[in-house]
Amino acid sequence: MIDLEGVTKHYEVGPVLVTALAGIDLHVDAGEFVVVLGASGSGKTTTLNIIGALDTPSSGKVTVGGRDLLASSRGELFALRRETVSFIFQSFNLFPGLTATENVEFGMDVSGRKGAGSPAELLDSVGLGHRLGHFPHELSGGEQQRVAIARALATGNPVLLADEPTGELDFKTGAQILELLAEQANQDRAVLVVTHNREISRMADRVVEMSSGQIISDGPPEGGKTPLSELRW
Amino acid sequence: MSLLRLRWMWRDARRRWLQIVGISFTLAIGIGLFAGLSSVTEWRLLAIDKSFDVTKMYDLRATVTGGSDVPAGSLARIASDIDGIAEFNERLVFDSQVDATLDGEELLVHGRIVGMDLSASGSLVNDVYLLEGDELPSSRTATPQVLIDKNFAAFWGLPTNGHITVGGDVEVNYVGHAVSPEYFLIVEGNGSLGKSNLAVLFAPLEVAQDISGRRGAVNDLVLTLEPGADIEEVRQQLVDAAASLDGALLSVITRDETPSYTGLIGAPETQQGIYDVMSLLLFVGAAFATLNFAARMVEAQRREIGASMAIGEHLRSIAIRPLLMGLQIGILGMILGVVVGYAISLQTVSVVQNIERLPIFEQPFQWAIYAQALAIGFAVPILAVFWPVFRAVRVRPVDAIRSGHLASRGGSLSPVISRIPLPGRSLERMPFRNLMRAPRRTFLTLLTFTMSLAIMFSMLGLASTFTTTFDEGSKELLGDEPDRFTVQFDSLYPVEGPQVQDVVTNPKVRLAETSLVLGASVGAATPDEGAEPTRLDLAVRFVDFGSAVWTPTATQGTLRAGEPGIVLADKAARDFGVEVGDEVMVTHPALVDGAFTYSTRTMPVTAIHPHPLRLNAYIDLTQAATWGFGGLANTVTGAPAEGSSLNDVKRALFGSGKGVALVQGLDDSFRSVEDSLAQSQGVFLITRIFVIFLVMLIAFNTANINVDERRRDHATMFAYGIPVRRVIANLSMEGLLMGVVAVVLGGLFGYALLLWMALFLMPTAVPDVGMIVSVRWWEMAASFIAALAAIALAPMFPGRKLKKMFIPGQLRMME
Ligand SMILES: Nc1ncnc2c1ncn2[C@@H]1O[C@H](COP(=O)(O)OP(=O)(O)O)[C@@H](O)[C@H]1O
Ligand SMILES: [Mg+2]
Repeated sequence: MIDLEGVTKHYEVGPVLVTALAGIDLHVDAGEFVVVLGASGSGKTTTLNIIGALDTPSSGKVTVGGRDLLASSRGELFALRRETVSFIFQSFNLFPGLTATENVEFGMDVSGRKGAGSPAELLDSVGLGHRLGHFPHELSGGEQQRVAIARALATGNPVLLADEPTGELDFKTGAQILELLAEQANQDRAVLVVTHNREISRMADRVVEMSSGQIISDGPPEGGKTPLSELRW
Repeated sequence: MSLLRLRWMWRDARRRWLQIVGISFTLAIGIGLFAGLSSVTEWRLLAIDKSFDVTKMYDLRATVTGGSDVPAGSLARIASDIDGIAEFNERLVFDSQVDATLDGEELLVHGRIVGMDLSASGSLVNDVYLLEGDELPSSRTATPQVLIDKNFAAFWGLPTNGHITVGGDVEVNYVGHAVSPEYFLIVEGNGSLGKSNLAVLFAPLEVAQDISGRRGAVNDLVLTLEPGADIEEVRQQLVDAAASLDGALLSVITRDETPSYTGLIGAPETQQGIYDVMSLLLFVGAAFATLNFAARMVEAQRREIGASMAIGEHLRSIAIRPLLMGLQIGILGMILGVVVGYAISLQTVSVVQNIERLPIFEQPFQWAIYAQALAIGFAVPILAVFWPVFRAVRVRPVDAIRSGHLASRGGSLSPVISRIPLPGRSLERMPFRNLMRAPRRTFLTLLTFTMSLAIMFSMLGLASTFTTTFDEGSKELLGDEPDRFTVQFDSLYPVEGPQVQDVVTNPKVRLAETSLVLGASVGAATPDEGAEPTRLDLAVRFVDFGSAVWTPTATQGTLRAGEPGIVLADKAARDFGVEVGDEVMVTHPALVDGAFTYSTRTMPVTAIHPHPLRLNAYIDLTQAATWGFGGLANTVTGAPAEGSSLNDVKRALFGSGKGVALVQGLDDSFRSVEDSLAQSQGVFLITRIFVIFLVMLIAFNTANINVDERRRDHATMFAYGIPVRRVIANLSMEGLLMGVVAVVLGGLFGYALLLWMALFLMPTAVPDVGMIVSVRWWEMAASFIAALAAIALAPMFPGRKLKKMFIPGQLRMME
């Protein structure tokens, strides 16, 4: 589903060349739930953005959903984002002018897929059946993130990318959000969750650890997969 | 102020320069329109004062009636005998057809030769002011030399030297362009003559006498009064003194009864009334726009302000950044305002000078007006930033720096309206929702659009009202024969006599009908209690009400051939307060035993005609006998015979030289009144252009700020694969939603404004014309669609920013 080969990314900040990614190889299959772990500045967001075609690598090869991103036109990249990948952001980024239901509808409208169920059903499935007509500013952070997840699910897209989805949430809420995301992998989606929190990574089947723009380990979490209920942070 | 702060301000300014310039320009248009147009009014008032002063316009003018004349010196003698007269000048003034054909371009018009002492030693009441060309020679020349009126010369682009023919056979050279107070503004013959069809020639008295073949004759006296002299007394003495003139009568008018003078004196202030309203509205519109934009820019800095508060900065140093921005807008607005104002002034002056040929027109910079406009223009953006800064520093710092979901949003109205269910897909609902989310902001933008469109509506409406009024007037006069013309004789002639018959039977003339045009003073016979009764000098036309060729249209009542009764213009009837069936009192000239007298009688109003000029009144031709004018005519109307043009007719009739004073299209004559309104038209056009520009600016600014403010929303849409053009389309839609509401509101408000201007303001400026308020809807629709298109296209410009957006950068951003 996702294939990165020798991906590098450099940013020019004035005369200085910042290396965000120093050569990354990563393969993620459908149905996998992967946590990308690393300290701040290690290149996690950059990796996610490149997979989601929001950013282009300086070199290397990126294939998502069978599409070679470097060989794709701008229009094809827009299409990829509509039909293949869906984002969940740390700061939610809901549309403030649309209600919860409408934000979810937006996801549906974007991909044009109808299979994911009605907006109300989707909101119900993330536990927000009672908040359909609310605007984002009338919802708590956890509720907003659930709406954001419902919006991403509504697209029916096979790749789900979440950048620090629990960053602004307390533990309990964060845990519920992660559980929700983990469930999505069971629907045959590839789910990538980025975090700098080692504790969180313990709940995954597979943890990709990054440091200084490189992958330093890839495999099951240290001490094996741990049930959410046993995690503390 | 620290260096850091200056650098920060500079960075702010660089990032927002486009918006700052846009807002400044909006403000500048308000400032410029107000200051520019008000300046012109000041200049005009000043020019009018000085011009009448330097040419020493008469206080009284006495004219021998009935086209006759008296020996030179006899009027001077009368004047010397009357106390209270300071200076006087005898003149010979007569009308004659003028052929000013130039380079094969036929130009046959009504001419007026004004003969008077033009030597430097003369007393020079009502002086002739040379604008271009040469002074007249002091002695007679083989070919008479004259000066030609600047209004006419400029209209037809005549050179300063040229050759014309007067009265069919007298060759005359003109050597310069000049003006004189009676002709600064040309509204003659009850408005039937204007700068295009009245050629005034100024000549020394003897030369005028030579041209007319009336050696040693004068027929006109202009005089100024000594300070403190009683004008009515002198007037009466002049009228009485006519007894010494061998049966000639003197008609005396004051300066205030001279159309050029009254037209000039009253116009600037009335027009200023319209300008004031327009610029006030624009000013308010620009002020709201500024307030709106400044507030939004400050709101966008809310988090930075919150952070500053959290760090413990003084409120005044927090406020300084936004205030500096207001200052920048204010200063730039003032600079641009002066430029715009001056440009508007220059444009307007050139329009004004086309109508009013004032010899002295100085344009001193109007410091007081500009100071006023600039003070307001400067205060608006400063005040506009205060409110949002005040709001921003009032919130608790924690709230200001807290991230999105906890920050309070929306006004009190928004929860209600924004929950209204809407059709369409989620993306399609966004524009409406975005508007509803910020009702105050939407309201302010809407207000500015509405003001602008209302002004545009009223300007277009006034223009079409003028056109319609004159088109309707032409239609009424011409009937089914667009070529109909009028032949005026220099005196009254028997209908069966050779002068009239030569015209009526001329092979180049068909549909000839004789008529009689007389001036009469008319007013309601029983005026309303308490009200000041209106009396007007009307041009009463005796026409055959049974004619198959032309009769006035009766919009009320009926034309009664063979019966006494008068047909009044709708405007006149309204001004008199009379209706069909009421009686009016008519004071008119009468011919008793071959001598002119004045007589007063009451007559029923039998019908109302729709012609907008209130001066036109009609009586059936059979009734001419009751005034003593049976069997006499001074006018023939007709149409060119098959295969002939109006110029052919002019040459044919005019060459005969038997009493024909004027031949011109019925339509031309009336059209010349339109000239006196053309100036307002020009100003309206200028205003309209600026208003459209203003709408574009506001639309552009709104779109630009929206793009800045919604970076995160847009980045999210892009992350979801929504194409850039969809996002731009949404922005356009948002503008259009407001635009459509503004069109409706602006249309309603503009219509009210139009009615007010046309029915209340204009009648004081041009009381003789009854405006027919009309709106050309297709033209209005086109203008409004153009405005909407400007609004819809505005997001294209900041749209480039969207295309270049680095999406991850914006997604990370909070707020
Ligand atoms: N737009 C950018 N310009 C310059 N440097 C950047 C940009 N985005 C990221 N970086 C740099 O790239 C490195 C990796 O950033 P990022 O992927 O955001 O890290 P993480 O998400 O793991 O915290 C950091 O050193 C960061 O400073
Ligand atoms: Mg990151």
